[in-house]
Amino acid sequence: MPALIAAEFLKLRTIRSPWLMLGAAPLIVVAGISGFVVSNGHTPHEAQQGSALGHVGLTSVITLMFGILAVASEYRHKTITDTYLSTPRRDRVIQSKLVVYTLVGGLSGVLASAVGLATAAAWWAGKGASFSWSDARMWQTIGGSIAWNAGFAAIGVGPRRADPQPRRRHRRRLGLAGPDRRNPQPAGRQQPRPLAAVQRRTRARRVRPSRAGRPAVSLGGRAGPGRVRGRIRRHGRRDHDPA
Amino acid sequence: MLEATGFHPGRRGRDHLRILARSSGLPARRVDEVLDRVELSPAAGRRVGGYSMGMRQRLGLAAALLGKPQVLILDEPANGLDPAGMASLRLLLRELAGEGRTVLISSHVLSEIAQTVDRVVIISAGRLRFAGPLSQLARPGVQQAASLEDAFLRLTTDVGQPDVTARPTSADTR
Repeated sequence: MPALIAAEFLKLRTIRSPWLMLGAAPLIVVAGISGFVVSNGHTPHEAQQGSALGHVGLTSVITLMFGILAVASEYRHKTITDTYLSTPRRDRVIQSKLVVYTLVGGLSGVLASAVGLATAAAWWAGKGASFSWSDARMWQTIGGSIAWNAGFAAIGVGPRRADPQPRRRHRRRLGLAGPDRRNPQPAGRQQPRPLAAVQRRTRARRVRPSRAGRPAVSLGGRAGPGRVRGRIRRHGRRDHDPA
Repeated sequence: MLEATGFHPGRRGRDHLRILARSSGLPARRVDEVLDRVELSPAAGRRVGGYSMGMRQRLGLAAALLGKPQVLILDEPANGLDPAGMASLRLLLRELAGEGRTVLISSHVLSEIAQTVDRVVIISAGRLRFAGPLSQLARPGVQQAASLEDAFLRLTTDVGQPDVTARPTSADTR
């Protein structure tokens, strides 16, 4: 897991788009707070500090996009193939992305807050108002905004329970692996049995030799459950014809 | 190694390999070793978006070599390579085979294959048509490349498969 987290961080670090996006966040905060003070008309007062710093929360839109890119850009550039080939445990890949992006999203929130504080303090001082560093409501807003930024990055990654054992499940569907012991199906609810359905269809499709003495579609004429299973195991396909 | 498409264009070649090494638990020095091996070291600091097709192929090959595999499976590795690139790829693959590794190449460039491989497997319409040493396909008086093409066409357009040659094209049915 630490290696995966390190790899995810390296992925993030070695392209420019995340940095451009995260770099835009403080700029939005500066623009937001400046607009707030300028349009205010009168001298800002202490009660308005929280509202001004609330602009930090706006940047969560950026961390959301940042999180979405975590997975989307891997699919777009097809690097996802290498990612899942080198780490077949897909849930772990998503978990490590979640850790890295939530952390970086939160850090981006911290940075945006610091820039926001400096901007607000400068405006307050410039307008001749006193800036209170101990305003509880302001700090509450900042804390919430940082959490908001981290949370939206996580939402962007879009965690879901990935299939931890895609291959095992596939084999189970084909009837090549036993029932799932860790995740037993409740009684009365049968696992779907596509293989049995395939066999039924095959039997239905099997045409008796026509008058010309030629069989039409037939899986070699022998398609018992054991045979089909054996063919899949040996040849990787149901309709393997030794002839 | 798959088609040379799985790269982020904004990432540097070396970084691409560093990520793969990191997530596969391989030492970082392997990155420079494989870069040297495919002769991509001078361009390793450039972003992949500016690479030529041949450089991407070599980067893909470098990624495949990271874990020192005993079996190497390459899909059309000579795609988009210039003559010099083809020659050095051939040399590299022979070298890898000489180290006792198995190199499996799937390709339609028969003349290139004829110069590179020891054994041929020809598959057509889901059936195995031929598997054996290249020399078994040889015909007296015919060049090796020509005889491989000859054999390929003979084996893939067999009498039992009239539809291979006689299938109407989409232009006909339109």
